[in-house]
Amino acid sequence: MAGIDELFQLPAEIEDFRASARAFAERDVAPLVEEAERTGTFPLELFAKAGSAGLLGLQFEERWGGSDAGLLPDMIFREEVSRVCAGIAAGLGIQGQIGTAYLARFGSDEQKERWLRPAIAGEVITAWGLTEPDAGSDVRSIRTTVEADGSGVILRGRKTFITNGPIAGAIGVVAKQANGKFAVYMVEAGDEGYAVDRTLEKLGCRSSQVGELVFDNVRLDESRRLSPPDGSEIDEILDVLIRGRVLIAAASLGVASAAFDLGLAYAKERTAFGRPIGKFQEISMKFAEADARIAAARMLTYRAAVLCDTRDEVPVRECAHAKLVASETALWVVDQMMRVFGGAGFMQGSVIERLFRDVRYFQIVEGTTEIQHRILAKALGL
Amino acid sequence: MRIAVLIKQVPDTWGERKLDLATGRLDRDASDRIIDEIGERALEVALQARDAKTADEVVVVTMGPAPAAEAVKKGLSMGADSGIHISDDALAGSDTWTTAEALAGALREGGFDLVIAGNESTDGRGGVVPAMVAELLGLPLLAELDEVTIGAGEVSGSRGVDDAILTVSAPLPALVSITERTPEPRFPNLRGIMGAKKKPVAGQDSSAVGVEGGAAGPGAHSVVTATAERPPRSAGTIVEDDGTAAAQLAEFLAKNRLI
Repeated sequence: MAGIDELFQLPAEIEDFRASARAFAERDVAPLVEEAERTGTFPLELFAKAGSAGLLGLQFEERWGGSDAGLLPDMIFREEVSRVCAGIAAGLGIQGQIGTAYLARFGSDEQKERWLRPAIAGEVITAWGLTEPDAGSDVRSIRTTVEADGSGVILRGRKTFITNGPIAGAIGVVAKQANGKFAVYMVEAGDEGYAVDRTLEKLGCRSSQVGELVFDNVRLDESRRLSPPDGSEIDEILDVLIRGRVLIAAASLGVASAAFDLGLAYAKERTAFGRPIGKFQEISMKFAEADARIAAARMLTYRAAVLCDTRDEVPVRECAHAKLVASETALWVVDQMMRVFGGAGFMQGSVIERLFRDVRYFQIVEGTTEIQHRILAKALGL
Repeated sequence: MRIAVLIKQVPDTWGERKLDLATGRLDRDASDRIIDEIGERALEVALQARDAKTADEVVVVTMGPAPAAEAVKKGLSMGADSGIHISDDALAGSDTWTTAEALAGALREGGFDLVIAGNESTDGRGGVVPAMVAELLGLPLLAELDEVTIGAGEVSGSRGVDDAILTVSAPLPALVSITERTPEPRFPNLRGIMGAKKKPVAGQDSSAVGVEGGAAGPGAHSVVTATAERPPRSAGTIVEDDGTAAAQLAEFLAKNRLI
């Protein structure tokens, strides 16, 4: 049996990889964050930079340019970039998981050559079109349809809250087909009938581009169909989201750690009544509690990633644990750090103010906190 | 084409750098150890030549105590094909000439067409080792290049001087030293990190590289006679602007011969 250290320590190679991911975040991402967040634009050059640094295809096969290394390093990448900017991390993160996972699993070699290889290289931006104005958590009730038309299909519908949608060159779109099962088709930016209706303005993660997309009788031939001819089961669609939950947990850890580090530095430097504010018990206890909560959330998140990589079946329950605890921990930690900063944190333009807005993202995406509760309650037979 | 890249493990530039006052040597435990960034840039120049198929093989070469193996490993993770690690207690505290003799000794029989080094390290900042190695190996030296072009039988580049840019070239084999104006180094990717474990690293001691007597041998040219703690920073002067601040600042700069 493995020793206790082996069970709870990441392999040395993964820690070395973390150093690379952190260096990428600090050298290439950090200088772009202020402007990207202020203007609500994504620094598109980062896709190619991340691609050439081998950061976008960590889970995918080497023959398509990936690293074939599983969710664990992808999770580290997401955590480290989120420490610097959750919005940019969200945009880059789509490329290695949500936007491409279904393609990597079900696509043919020709389709992977066409979309997966350039996605991994950062040459084509991808998105995953699932959520609709009237179907969020309730995925089964989507209304977008594909209708057979000669050798292809006609796609009709509307998708919303699609991260990378406004900048994507290739979007995996989920639609209902005549037999009630789900079809997934790749739509390309230039396709006739496809349009970005609008780019949505958001409370936080403003640099990530989230949009509402319209599919007005988009004709797609067989080369665009990723799903089997008779359609995909709902579980195959949801698997993409379930693994993605670990990445949202990792992003939550990144934001929680960033807030913690900022707050700790401030608590040591800011003085009141003749001593650093961190020396007051009211403040120091916040850090003691946050330190423990972040450590607990990190343990659950890393465990979920390892289980995703080592089990044949998706560990639904453990992914829900990680997503639930990490996202709520991040919310709590950022709130506490906001209190440490006091008035300085309430001012627009401070980093803690951005983190306070960004952190609200994590209790919503990839299954809300309430959906995680539902999953866990169901697993308990309730 | 075989390219050797000289790299060096140094204390983290962002950490506190200290001397061991008892020995006059660098206190290597005072901060984190990293590859000197200028060495990573030198490696990037070599790896780009290999990416472009101009070079076939890139070897990282370092001299340093056992932990310097980490620097070699990072070089391999970035993409170097193999490493040479010169390590020997007898070489601890070597001056620049002895260091250059050891590096030259490791390179001499390696069949290298090109040696690339940073122009100076962030710890010692002597800036002389590349020239010394070139002298010992009888190679032409293109020093302080801001940009490097590696061809089949020639290396060329440019160097900024006060009011001009010099374009220089030399036939191979040659040695070049580069500045921080060369491209930023790549990050080790996961495949590189995993693959580094399987790449060969040759360990060499002082006799293997032909340095008789180690750091205190006949090659040593410098002796540390005394060391002292760096004096604490003084409080400085705060100029209150009562309408004469600009004049006061100009006077301060002129008095200290800064303008």
